[in-house]
Amino acid sequence: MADPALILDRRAALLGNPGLHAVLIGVSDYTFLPAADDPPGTGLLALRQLKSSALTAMALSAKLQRLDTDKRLMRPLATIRLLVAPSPEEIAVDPALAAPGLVAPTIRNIELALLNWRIDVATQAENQALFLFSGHGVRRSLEESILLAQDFLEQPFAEMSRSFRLSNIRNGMAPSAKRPDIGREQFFFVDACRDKPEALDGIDPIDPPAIFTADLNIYDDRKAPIFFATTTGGVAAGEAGKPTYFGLALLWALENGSFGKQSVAGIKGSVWPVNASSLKAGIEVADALFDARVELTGLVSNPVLCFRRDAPEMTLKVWLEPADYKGHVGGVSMTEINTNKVTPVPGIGEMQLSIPITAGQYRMTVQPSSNRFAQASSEVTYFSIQMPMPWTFDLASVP
Amino acid sequence: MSEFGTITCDGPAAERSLGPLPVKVRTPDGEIIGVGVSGSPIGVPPGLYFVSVVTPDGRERSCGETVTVTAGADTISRTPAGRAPAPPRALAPAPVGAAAPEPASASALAPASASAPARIPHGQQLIREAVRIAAKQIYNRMTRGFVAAESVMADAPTPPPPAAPAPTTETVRLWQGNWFAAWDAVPGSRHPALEAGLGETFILSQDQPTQIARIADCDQLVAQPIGACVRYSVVPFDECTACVDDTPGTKDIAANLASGPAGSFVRFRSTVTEEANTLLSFVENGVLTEMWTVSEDMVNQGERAMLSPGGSVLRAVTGAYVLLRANELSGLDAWLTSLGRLSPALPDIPILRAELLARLGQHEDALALLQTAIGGRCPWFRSGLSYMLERVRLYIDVSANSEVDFAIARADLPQFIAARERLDTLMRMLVRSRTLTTFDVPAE
Repeated sequence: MADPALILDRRAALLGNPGLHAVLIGVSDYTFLPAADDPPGTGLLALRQLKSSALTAMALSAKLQRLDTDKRLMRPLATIRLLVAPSPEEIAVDPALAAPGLVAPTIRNIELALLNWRIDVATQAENQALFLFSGHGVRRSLEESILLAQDFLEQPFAEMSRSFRLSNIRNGMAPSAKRPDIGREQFFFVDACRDKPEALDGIDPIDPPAIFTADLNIYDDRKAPIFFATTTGGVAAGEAGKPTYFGLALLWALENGSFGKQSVAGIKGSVWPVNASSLKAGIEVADALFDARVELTGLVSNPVLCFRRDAPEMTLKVWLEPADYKGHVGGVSMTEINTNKVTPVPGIGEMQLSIPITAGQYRMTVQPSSNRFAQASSEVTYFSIQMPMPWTFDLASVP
Repeated sequence: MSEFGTITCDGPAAERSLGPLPVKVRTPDGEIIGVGVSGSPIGVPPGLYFVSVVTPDGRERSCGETVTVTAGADTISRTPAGRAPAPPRALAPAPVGAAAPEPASASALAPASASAPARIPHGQQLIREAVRIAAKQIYNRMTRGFVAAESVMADAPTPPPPAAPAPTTETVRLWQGNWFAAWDAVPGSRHPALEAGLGETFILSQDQPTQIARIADCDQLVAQPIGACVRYSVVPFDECTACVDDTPGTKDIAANLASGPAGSFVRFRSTVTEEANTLLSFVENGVLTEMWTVSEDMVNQGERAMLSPGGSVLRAVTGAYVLLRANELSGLDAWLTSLGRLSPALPDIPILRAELLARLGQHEDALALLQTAIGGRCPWFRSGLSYMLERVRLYIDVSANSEVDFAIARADLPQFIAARERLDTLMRMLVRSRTLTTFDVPAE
């Protein structure tokens, strides 16, 4: 079977060892939709072209390759299949998007890429799979989205014939009698549910054509989280010429989205793993747009996608209370417990502080502005992106 | 002698009433060396550790400063005693900004009347209120105070009296009937005649819980006008799993008005045990790994947890959803079977078991349960509705695949197709930000 979307192939180099197989689909240039700057049409033509989705897929491809070079992926990168339909603005920023040989995400090309992707993932249970779709989609249930290919609305086919169901892909990736050894750790990212014209809601729930033939699973012991970007209601997908907001947040989270240092089976030494739950938190922390708005569903168990060796950076938001103590705070410092390193916090007198730190255990100390108060110290507290912000330091009470 | 020792994080009484809370044990450089739940020992190598407990909003609170563990010994790590408003030094006035204690008024819980007379036992009200206050105070105990020194400020600003929260109420109605059948009655329509199921209006308050009693053999939903929609919130109930046979007919739930990004909504809380509310709060706050820890601990205990004083139907079913979402299936079938036996009226049981058996590859059994579920009551949890739809859709699709030795019986197929359409319609109205099943039905 031809495999034109395959842009990276390290299968031979892995010598039969398990790897990560990624399929990345970014659709900005929807051929049959109005331009992004045109007024929205009626019905399904209320959907318009996008300006950030292809760049998102490309950026994730580059990120996975960097993580692989740094040996920070849980499984070495085996394959990447990339399908992009870039806007002119995206090509201007990254001319590689117009490189010859890149495959357009038409429904036929998507189908071929997904079938080939599944063949690779099914070679051994220790493989990992990663699926990203950035473009237009219609969310239909907690675990379901109808995703629109580049040639959506091309005539003379029925309205939804150029689309596919996420659930069809997810179910098709389950272990089955035909594919008992399919990779059990699978990550699905869907960056596609902001724009939702009423016409899409009114579409008959007849399924779009299936890409994978429906089959039954054997014991489904996958760890297969689905991440949905859920900001809705007039929020653009992203700034022209940059990855989508979700894409940028995902890139940040792949670098910094870890809750804590721990040992991870299969990795020498303790590391800071980026797993499903910490990735969600990382995306939400990275951009206020996604604060508590990333839906993590599917088979959520906590597979590790990548890791880092050192503590990630984060911003600690602290509110000193009560507010009317303002003026009595002479200085704030953070003591990192392991090294005992004391770092003064800039912004004397401020009661709401944003403090750049690396994740870890700290004690905060607040010096009074006069000797009429005593110094106040927090208990040793562990700060990571898991800590709900702002963290409140109550200066008016004692243990 | 064992090469390991154990740490048992034993929080103060107020936290203990919240039930087992997740505990993390870290080395001084922050590495997680052990996890577990409060009240249970966690095995770790000898060494110096920091221990913290996670509260239902996801915040970590230190259990003391450091804990030294020796081989073969159990070390009790106690959360420091409750933090109090800064006490005055000798002869000094109360320090500035001291937090005023919350009024622990039992009358605050005086329930308004729904369709059934409110009847939260007074003792339970006091316990819950005390727990609520204690939970809130947890956040105030994370730090040592900015204590007034020898010369307490004479010129300190006087704190304003704490502002009383503005009472917020809404007039709502209770819908009763067969929710699924109501949507089947008008196939293709998104506006079934729901009016007939609506009862008398009653007031739902942010401050005072309203107790809603369970009516057997029907769905109950709170109907709340919201913009151009009516928000229907499926009403769960709770009952003590250890005393189901002793106190028949005591199924109920407390309902409060709350607000979130998607507007105001009904928050349901158990009147039976605070442990159910703790787990529900973990879920609602998306504190993922921690709620797995608590749920796993509960299901691993099996009948012992089910029949413990903190055992309740709502807690048990919440934990089952948590583990199914995490695809942690070990022990879940026995857990659900026990729960179904104790509380046959719980509508989520056939859905949960159908999904569980389907994941285990036992599709014929799953199909039979799914058929029961689609002819049953609306599930309490949004995930239940989603599991139903996706499983119904898959089984219809697979039935068309002649290569697979599985098919819905020809005579049953119309029922499944009708269910798929109904569920698809309902799913479009599902409020996804709510954990418990809630629909925004466009007004006529």
